[in-house]
Amino acid sequence: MISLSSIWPEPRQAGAWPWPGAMRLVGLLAAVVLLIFAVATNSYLLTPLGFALIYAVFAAGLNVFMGFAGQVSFGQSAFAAIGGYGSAILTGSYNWEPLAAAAASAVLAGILALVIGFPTLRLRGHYLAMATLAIGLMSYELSVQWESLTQGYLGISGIPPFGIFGFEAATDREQFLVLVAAAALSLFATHRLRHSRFGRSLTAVAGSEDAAAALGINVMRAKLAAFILAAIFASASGSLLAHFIGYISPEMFGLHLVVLGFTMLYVGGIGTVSGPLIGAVVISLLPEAIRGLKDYQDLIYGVVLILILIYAPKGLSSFAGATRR
Amino acid sequence: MSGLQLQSVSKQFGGLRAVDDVSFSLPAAGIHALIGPNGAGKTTLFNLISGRLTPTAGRVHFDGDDITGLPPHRVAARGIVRTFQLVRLFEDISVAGNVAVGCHLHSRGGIGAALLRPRWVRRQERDIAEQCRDSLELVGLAAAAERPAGQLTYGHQRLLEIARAVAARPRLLLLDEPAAGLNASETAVLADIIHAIAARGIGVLLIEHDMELVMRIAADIIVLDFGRKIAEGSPADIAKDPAVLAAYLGTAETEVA
Repeated sequence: MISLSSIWPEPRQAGAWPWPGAMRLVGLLAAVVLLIFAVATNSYLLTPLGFALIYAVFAAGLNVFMGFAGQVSFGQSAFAAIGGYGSAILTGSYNWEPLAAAAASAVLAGILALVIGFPTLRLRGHYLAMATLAIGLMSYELSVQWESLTQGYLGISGIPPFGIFGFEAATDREQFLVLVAAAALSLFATHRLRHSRFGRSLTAVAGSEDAAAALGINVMRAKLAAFILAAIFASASGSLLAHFIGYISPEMFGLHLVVLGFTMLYVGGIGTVSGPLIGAVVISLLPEAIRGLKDYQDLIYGVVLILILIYAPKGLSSFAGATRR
Repeated sequence: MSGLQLQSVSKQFGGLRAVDDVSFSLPAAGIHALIGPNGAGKTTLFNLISGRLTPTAGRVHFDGDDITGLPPHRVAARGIVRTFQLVRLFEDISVAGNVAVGCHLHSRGGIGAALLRPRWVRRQERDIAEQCRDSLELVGLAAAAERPAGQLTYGHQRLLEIARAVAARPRLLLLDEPAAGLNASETAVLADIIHAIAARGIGVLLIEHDMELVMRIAADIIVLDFGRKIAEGSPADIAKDPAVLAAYLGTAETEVA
């Protein structure tokens, strides 16, 4: 009798973690919680780790579209910008609850992804990359030029910290806990998506669109759903970023964010559930770890990335024995 | 009317008539074959039936419904599932995972069901695992269920593609050159598998160049040449049909007949 877990393969590497997928995720979350306690005494690390958790949300969404469904998008920064500006404007100018503002922004991002995705997702490969790149560039220009709404290059400051139902996460540690919860929820959601009928349809689309369609999968709808999910994740990360820093500007949602997301995915392990978190933590902490090298910092950063991609071409998660595709 | 009916189906690519005014009718059950020299338009005809291509003219009916011009996933939903001449597996996932994708049509649930995973979804996943085992046993790959699909031998990859298609519970299975690249013993196994599929009440239409296999398992044979249907009938009739012999003249295939 084939067990349920056999629907999805174990990692190919020998000596892989013997736990089933869900247990691995629990182990991962436990590690994250331990991390919090570790950093509770070291507030210096709270900020880079906080960024890591926000980027993990962003990368987890990108992973659904790129890792699971095998598509490519250089325009996810646009959806993060919607989350960031939506949260900043709705909480700042209209006194909305942060959670409500983030949710409304995410809905808007999802609707825009539907509208944008419908024509562009017919494109494949490099053409899709170009089309999505254009989306990111347009959103950047829009955030710079639409000064009445975004205050242009100046950005929007004085964004309140995240809060739920009147409770405000005022201290650094409370904010950090919110970010841990958001990242954990993202990983949980992508894990559930991965191991489902919906996740299988994305895998099929990534593997062969013709074969997927021949088995009754609506390829366009699967891609569109993945694109909308990625946009919602990106918007959520943008909202978190706005509340975490208390300030947003167009530069925060530029091409740099897309490059970061890609790097995190490939370093952590694209297509794996834990890869986005592992990549986000490594890429966020690496500059801190090599800061003492001063002039050689950028050089070492680049060399480390290249070494990781040479020796762990499937990402660092393949070492951790974490859930593979 | 049940089964597959083609009425004057044509497909024009620029100046080329890849399929030219082809009509035939197949019953819902049984094993049937589509043969013809290379470039005769067999795969194009499969593409027209399965919805990858839309006919320039003519209609395709299946089980009484007009399916002309439906997109591939809707044709599949009507009960016509195909395999490909060049195997198209989902290589990164396991053998069982491939077959689980085949269960897409007769399972349900989207993003909400995936996130909440209610009891019916968990039960459905158990059913799917059960069906995967059944489909893999049919083609003799049950022992390889956990292996990545990309690691299978070529012959086994072909069988896995068939198992995946059977998991979709088709009423008509279109097999595009299932024996291509298989050795004699693998082809013999394939013949048994096709018989077993037909015994489940699934109609099979196969494109095949292995005449020995076609003559042995097909009830009816349709012969295409230069996009036109030049003959249709039992293997015995086809073997002595002058038009067929002329189309194949000088090729090894005629010797088999």
